[in-house]
This record gives sequence, C-alpha cells and structure tokens, in this order.
Amino acid sequence: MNYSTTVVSGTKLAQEIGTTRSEVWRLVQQLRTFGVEIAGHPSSGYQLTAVPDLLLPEMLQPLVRGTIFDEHIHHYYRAGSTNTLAMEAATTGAPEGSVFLAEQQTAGRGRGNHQWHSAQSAGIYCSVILRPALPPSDVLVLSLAAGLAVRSAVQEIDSRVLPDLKWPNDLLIEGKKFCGILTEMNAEATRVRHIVVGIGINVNHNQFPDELQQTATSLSMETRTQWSKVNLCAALLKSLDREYQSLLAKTEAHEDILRRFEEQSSMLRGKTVRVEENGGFEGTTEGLDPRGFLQVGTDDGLRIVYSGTVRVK
Amino acid sequence: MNQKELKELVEFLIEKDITEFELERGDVKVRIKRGTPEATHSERIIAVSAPHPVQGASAAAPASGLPPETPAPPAAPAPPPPEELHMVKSPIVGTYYESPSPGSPPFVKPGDSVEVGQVLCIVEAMKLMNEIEADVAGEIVKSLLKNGQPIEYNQELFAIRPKK
Repeated sequence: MNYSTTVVSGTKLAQEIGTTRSEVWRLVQQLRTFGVEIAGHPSSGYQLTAVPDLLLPEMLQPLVRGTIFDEHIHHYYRAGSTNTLAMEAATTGAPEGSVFLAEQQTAGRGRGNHQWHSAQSAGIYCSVILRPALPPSDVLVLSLAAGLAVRSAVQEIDSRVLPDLKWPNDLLIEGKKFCGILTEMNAEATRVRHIVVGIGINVNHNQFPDELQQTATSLSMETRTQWSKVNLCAALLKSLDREYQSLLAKTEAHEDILRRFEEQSSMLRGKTVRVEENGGFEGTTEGLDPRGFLQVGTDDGLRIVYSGTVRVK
Repeated sequence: MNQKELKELVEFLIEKDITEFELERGDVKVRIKRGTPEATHSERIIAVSAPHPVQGASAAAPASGLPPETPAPPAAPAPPPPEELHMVKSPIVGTYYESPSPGSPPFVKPGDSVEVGQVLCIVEAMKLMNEIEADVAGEIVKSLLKNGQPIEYNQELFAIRPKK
C-alpha cells in the first residue's frame, strides 16, 4: 500500500518475497485479473496505479472492532454466492458474526430464481451469520432492520444521499434499485439455529446490462463520485451490529424498527401498488401491521402481504 | 352418507370438541372416537368404520379434514388401527414454496423417505427464506399445501409416517 506512488523493479519484489522474477510476473498478472490496477511490466518494474479498494479482512477488521463482526471475516475474489457460502459454513458450525465477502459473484441470488448482477469489484457482496436466541417469528423484523442498516451506512458516508426503502428491504434512489437483501433462516419450531443476511450493494458500477438500465443504479452513478467500498462496508457492518444488538436487548426495538421503516419509506401509505403474490392483486398501501407485514386496502377489504414483489404504480 | 357429509361431520366434532359419536340410520352405522387433543406435534388420525357397508360410504377420514387417503374396501371386516402420523408445522407466517426456485422440482413428494434435517420446503416472509426441515425420519404421507399458498403460524405442512 505504501508503494502506491513508486515504481518497484521485478527483481526487488522477487528478493523481498523470496521468489523469482518470472513468478512475480505471474502473480502480477493474477492480481490484475482480480481487479488490482498495476502498471508496468517485467523490464520496467511495477507500479500500483490505485490503492485497491478491496474488502480485505486486514482493512476491515480495525474499522469494525468492538462489533460481533470483527473476528471472522472471509474474503473471496470470486465466489458463486456469498449467501451459499455463509449458509454452508453456518450448517457446519461457523460462529455468529462470521462475514463472507466477495469482489465478484458468479451466481449472486435474489428472490425465487432472480439473479443479482455482481460485477467485479464494483459492488459489496456481503453475507453475515447470526444466531439470535429468539423464536423464528420474532426475527422476521430483522429483514426490515437490515434495510435500515444499509440506509444508515450510506448516509454516514454521504448524508446528501436519501435512499428510499421499498418494502420489505430494497433500497432505491430516484426509483432505481441499488441494494437488495436476501435473508435465509434455518430454524426449529421454537428456536433459530442460524440466519444469513445477504446484502448486495451497487457501489461503483458505471453501467449496467441493457435489461437492468431502467431499474438499477449505483451510488457512484447517483453522486458522480467514487465510493470507498471498504469504508461503506465497515459502516454497514457497524450499523447492522447496532440494529441486531438492540433487537436482542431491547423490548421496544421491534416497534422502533417498524416506526423508523414507516418514516423512511415513501410507499407505505396511500400508494397504489400491485402485489405479485397469491395470484396478484392491486390496492392502496395502509402501513405495516404489528409484525411488519405490509397492509394493502383492496375492494375485498384489507389484505396482508407476507412476501412477494410489490410495485408502486 | 357421502364423503362430503362425512368430512363435515368430522369437522363439526372437532370444532365442538366432541370425542365420541355414534349414528345409526337405516343400514348405515357410523361410530367416531377421537383422542383428546394434545399439545404435541403429532395428531391422531381418526378411524371411521361402516360395519354395514353401503354403496358410496367411504371409511376413513383424517382429522385434518382432508379427503381419505385410501378408501377402505367395502367389505372391510374391522376398522384399521389408528395410525400415528407426525405433523410438520410452520414456525412462521408466510408464503409456502415446495421447491428451491420457481420451476424446479419440489424438495419432497408423498412417498419419499426423509431423514432428520432434510429440507422439506421453504416458507418466505418479508424476503426471509425459512428452510423447513424434517424433525423426524420417515416417509412423507401427505403434502398439505399448494405452492405459493399463504400460511399461518403453526399451520401443518406435511404428514410424516415416522420410521419404526
């Protein structure tokens, strides 16, 4: 990191790490495929053109000290899906607070068989393992809290950005989505074994595939600045930790989450929506019920939405 | 007495918590005896027998009010012994999914043998996907729900015949 402005010869690099110049060349080429920007070649020496903004445990750990996420951070340059990795690890006993991060996902997942476009090094693809000592029905609200945590992290980095929450937990700017959250739970009737909260954030994307252009955006495209993924990810882990700790410790946390969600979401009251669930229906939003489910007034009376895509018309 | 009437009768008895019932009408004789409800995951299956067989009277209806699994032969000499089935219930309110993603084959189907910990279905609430696992080993006798159906807390999802 300290060499970011100097040219270092291949010979010197080889000496320092105890290998050959050709091995250094091979490693440099490998780093470049992972998205690290390195100028030069074997004859001229190498130069880091940009300090890589990679979500390395060494970078994140000092920034999230004191949270439940500061001990077991796992980083991958390329992974199928961080949620899949985290669910598998949780099944085999990985501790609460384990974090799985990837620079690129080759099989990023959303609801149903939706994919999550996970371009290399442009986004944050983060899954965390939680093991709350709560019955399954009490942790559903965590899904809403995760959206609040992302919103708070984004605001901490740039308070000009005002993300809108779309129930249950998509985050939008100007109606375009930049963050999606998928939570997976393994539970017995009265006890949660583990929960994996998977968060995908479009950070520094500067373009999207054609089919996503109308519906997707990134923080960088909205603010016209580069964002530090490391800083945003650290802010996210800290806000997620705050939400989670308060849910475990405070009896009023549940109501508090619902209240803040209603404040920060523009679509919860008086909006005409189409719900793609149970055959699909239309109605007007009437806030959250005490469990956090969306209430929609229809010609046939008030309906409760458990899941599914809700589109504002 | 047809199957629908029989079903309504069983539901009425459950609703009113009547544990024993006997009816004789012409050559039809129905006797129903229910076990008292217990606060366990298992529920007793009721055996209904028609000692004087008549055309169209089926002979067995499960407590959940579903169509009989196998109608007893008309000349069944004795009621089958009540069978203990294990009911898997949902720990949360949500939407029921039989398969990991739309269009893919279901996790399990009736007749499948399952082990403890095997995923049977997913219940989704607020984009939180809850994998429901088998809590006993055995054979799936019934899958009680339709894909995409909204379900309540503690609603029954599957009936499993536990492995002996």
